[in-house]
Order: sequence, then structure tokens, then C-alpha cells
Amino acid sequence: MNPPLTPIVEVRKLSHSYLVGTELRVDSLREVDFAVSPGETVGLIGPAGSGKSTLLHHLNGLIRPLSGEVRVLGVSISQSSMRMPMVRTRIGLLFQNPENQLFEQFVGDDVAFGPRNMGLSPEEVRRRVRTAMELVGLPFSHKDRQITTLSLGEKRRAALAGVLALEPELLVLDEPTASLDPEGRKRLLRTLGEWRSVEGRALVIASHNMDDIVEMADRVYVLIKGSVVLSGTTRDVFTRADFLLGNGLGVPAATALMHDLSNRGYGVSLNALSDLEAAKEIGRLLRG
Amino acid sequence: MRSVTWRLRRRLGGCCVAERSEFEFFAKLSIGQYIPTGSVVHRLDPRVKLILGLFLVIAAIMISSIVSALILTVAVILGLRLARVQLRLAFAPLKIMIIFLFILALIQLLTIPQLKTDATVVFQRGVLKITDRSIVSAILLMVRFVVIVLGLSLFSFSTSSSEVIHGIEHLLRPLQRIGFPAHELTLAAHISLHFFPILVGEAEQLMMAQAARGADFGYRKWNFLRKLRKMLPLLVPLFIVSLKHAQNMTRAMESRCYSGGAGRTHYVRLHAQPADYLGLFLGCGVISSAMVVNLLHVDGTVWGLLRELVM
Repeated sequence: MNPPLTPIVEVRKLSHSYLVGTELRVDSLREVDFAVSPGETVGLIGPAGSGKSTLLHHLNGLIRPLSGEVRVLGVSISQSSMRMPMVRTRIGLLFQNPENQLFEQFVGDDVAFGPRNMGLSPEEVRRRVRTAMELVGLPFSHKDRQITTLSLGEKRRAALAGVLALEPELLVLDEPTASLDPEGRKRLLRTLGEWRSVEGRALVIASHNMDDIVEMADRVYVLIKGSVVLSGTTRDVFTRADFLLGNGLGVPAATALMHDLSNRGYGVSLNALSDLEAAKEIGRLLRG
Repeated sequence: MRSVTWRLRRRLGGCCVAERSEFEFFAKLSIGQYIPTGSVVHRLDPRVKLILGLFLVIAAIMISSIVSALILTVAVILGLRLARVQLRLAFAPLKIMIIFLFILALIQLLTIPQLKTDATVVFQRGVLKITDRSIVSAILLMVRFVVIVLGLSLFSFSTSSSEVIHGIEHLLRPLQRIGFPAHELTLAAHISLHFFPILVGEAEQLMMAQAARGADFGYRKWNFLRKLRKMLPLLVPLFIVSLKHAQNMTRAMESRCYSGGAGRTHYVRLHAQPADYLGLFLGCGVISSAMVVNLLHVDGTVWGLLRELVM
């Protein structure tokens, strides 16, 4: 459907192992192919220990590829060691539990950490901090608040603002909604959707929450024991519910409901992913 | 390779490890590792190993004879073999220290003749003077150092940190009668040992998070001040995280009705077996024989014998 765009990040046959050369060797990635193009949201799912975080760390060069290739904006990062900080600011990476990684006393200073590292002028830093904070729903006046006075949700939004202030083309998130309350989760996903809607931006989300993935992602990669075992559009991937469940992964709540109904002998389509689709399907069942 | 178990421990501590990355603090640290091979030395009662280790260090410091220092060295190397640990691993920390060791030995070699003038001069040019005594003490310094480092390596390779803690607690227990808080102290030590790799992992995670926002921890090794300034932002969150860990830990302990001190029974009970007594006996035997040799002043005789053999 979409014209082929140059991917923002392209990963080819990437393998990575820990403890190489010992009997304790762990292969955390095996010949992984992965790509993100401008304008899309890519979901990454896999059981704990499947190599998700390792893959995400490769995307902005925190780990250099041991074998295989990672190309960021057309440049292979195995060769260009000098451009690492540049790469890292164009690919924004937010870790798990980012609220633990805030370190300044005041919110504004923490958000400004990235832009200041980029050596921008004070006015530009200020503009970026304002834009980023407003985008995540923190009023700009919060910049003078002490970080300790923020709630967990606010802290996480402040951390997100810190990454958004880099104005990256690609935002990579590791479990962004973990331990947020439903309200906070909704809000975060809405913010991410808004951010992504700007031309040329892309998003990668790794999550254990399949509903997050269904809500956000256009395409999904399934990583198991370091290999991409399944990839495709979100709908294609989640129609393989049995495969996912058999591999220690979940399915969206709506899909699980459809499977339950089907097992009890109701003739429903198993393709429903969102609540809305499930509701329609049940409505059809009740009427028919 | 050297840091295998260290990394393993960090993995078990639930943190991520990056191969070939600039975010590894202690990857090259090799002292203080536990290498589980299940050998005879590993199975020895930790109390025996603690006592022998203490004696070994004391003996190594007290002796003034090269022959007895060599006896101790050979004994420790035999111990390492017995522990089925690669000798390479034990010698690795020595490689780093060798330059300092040489400098120290050189200082001994040149300064002792200036202070103690009652020895035979072997070499003299201007103020530079080397006596037989200074040669002996320079060699002794190096061998002593090797014995102590290898001995400590042997101990840490073959004794897990919890064994060390249990051993220390058992050894200190008699002191509890006079009000010494043995259990509390060892518990504190145990907890700090336990949290160390976790905190290292957290520090790495923080560095990566900050690098992801353009902080440059890069390779400029010599710019120490700059590096230090880059480290400062790590300290605050690290401190907060460790306080959180401490709080969670106290809650977990209290929810299990922990109360320290008297009347606690132990999950791990150390019972010395005949083999442990044998080990203690053998170890003490070797160390005391080195001490006896030291008292007998055999160095001169051995030196003479060697010279006769060579001549």
C-alpha cells in the first residue's frame, strides 16, 4: 500500500550473544531482520528474556552489532563510531521504568538534559523543553517543580518529555505502560499517537500488554528466544492466537473473549482485535 | 573470560549486560569471583578456609626467609590446582600489579643499604649501593605479595559469598557472649555483598539511559575531571534507587517477622567433617613448616648448596 520509504532503522541478520567464548554463552539475538519506516508504528512482543531489550538497545547504537548490520538513517553504525551521539539523539530510546532514571532536582533541568548535551542555544533548549512538556501534558510551569513532588505517572511523562526534547525521528519505548493505572496508560498512548501523527516520525513499542500493541501498532514482530518467528500486520499476527498462546504470549482481551465464545460453541469470527470489533461481533451473534 | 562469573552474577542480579560496550564498569575485575568447580577445596568448611587464609597472610608477612616464602607459594599453587581453577585466572590480577611490584622492590633494593649498613655490599657505584640483605628483602617482598594475592584468589574462587558470611558468623559467635553483635554485623555485610552487583547493574542502566539522551561517556580516558562530572548525574538516582531497595528489603524482612539477635536458628548449619579437620591439619602443617624453616635460618645453607651444584 505505502510507497517503499527508506527505513529509519534497518537491522539485517543481527546476532548477539552474551558471555562469548565461555560455556555460559547465551545467544540473545539470532539473525534478526527488523525495519522501521517513517510513518509507521511497530510493535515488538516476546516472552521475558526473548531479546527484546537487546534488540532495542541496538537500534540507537547503545550496543554495537557483533555480527550482522544495523543501519540508522542509511548509515551503518558498525563503522561510524564518531557519529554515535548523533545517532542516539535522532533515535529516542526510553527505558523500562524511566521514572527511576530522572536525576536532576527540577523537572525542567531533566527534560533539558538531552538538548543541552546536543549543544543547542539556551533559547532553543527552552523552546524544546516547552514543546516536549506540553506534548506529554505537563504544564510548562511544572519545569520549576521538584521531581520528588511528582506522581509516578507525571514522572514517567517527564521522562518521556526528556526523550521527546531531542526531537528524534524514531521513538523506541520499552514497556511504556507497565505499572501505570488505566487512566495513565490511556493518556500515554494518546500522547504517543499524537506525537507519531506528525509526518516522517515512527514509533517502536515493546510491550507485554497486547492491547497496547493492538491499539498502537501497524506491524508486529514476534521475538522468541532471539529469533523473529512471526512478523506481519497486527491483524495477521494476532490471528495466530494459538501460536502466541502456545509460546507464553498473550492475545488481546477481545481476541481471548472471541476464542472463549467459539470454544463454547458460538459461531463468532476469531479475528476481532479491539473491544469495538468484539462488541460488533457479539451484537451480530445476539441479533442473528 | 576472566570476568565470567562476575557477569553471570550480574545477569542473575537481573540487569542487562552489554558485550563490547563502553558501559561496563567492573567487567575487568577478577578478584572476588566465585568459580564453582565443586572441587575438594570448594567443599571444605568455610571456617577452615577462613582460618587457613588468615594464618597464611600472617605467615607471609612474618617470614623473612626466601625458602619458606617459596614453600608457601608452592602450597598455594597446589591449592589452586586442587581447586581445579585455571591458574591463568589467579595470576591475572598479578599481571596488572606487576609494575608497581617492581617499583616497590626497586625501592627496597636501593634504600635498605642506606639505612642498614651492617650487610655485605654486593654492588656499589657512587651513592648507589646494593647489599645481599636488600636483594633478599626485595625478593621477599615480591614473593610475599604473590603468596597473598594467590591465597586470596584461591579463597574467593572456592568460597561463595554466602559461605564466607556463614563462616565469619560462626567464627564470631563465641564473641556474642560478651555482647559483640556478630549476627547483625554479618547480616549487614551479607546484604551489602548481595546488593553490590545489583547496584552495578543499575548504574549501567542509568549510564545507558543518559547516553541515549546524548550524554557522552566515550573513550576519552585521560580527561578525568570531565569524566567525573559525567558521573555525578549517576549518583543521585543511584542513591535513590538504593534507598528504595533498602526500604523494600526491610519491609520484606519485617513481613516475615524478622528479629535479629539471640535465639535465631540457622538454615545453613556448618558441621565440620573429618575431612575438614584433615584439611585444617594439613594447611596448618604446611604453614607451620614454613614458619619452622624460617626459624632455622636455612637460607644460607640452601644458597651454598645451590652454588655448589651449579659450580
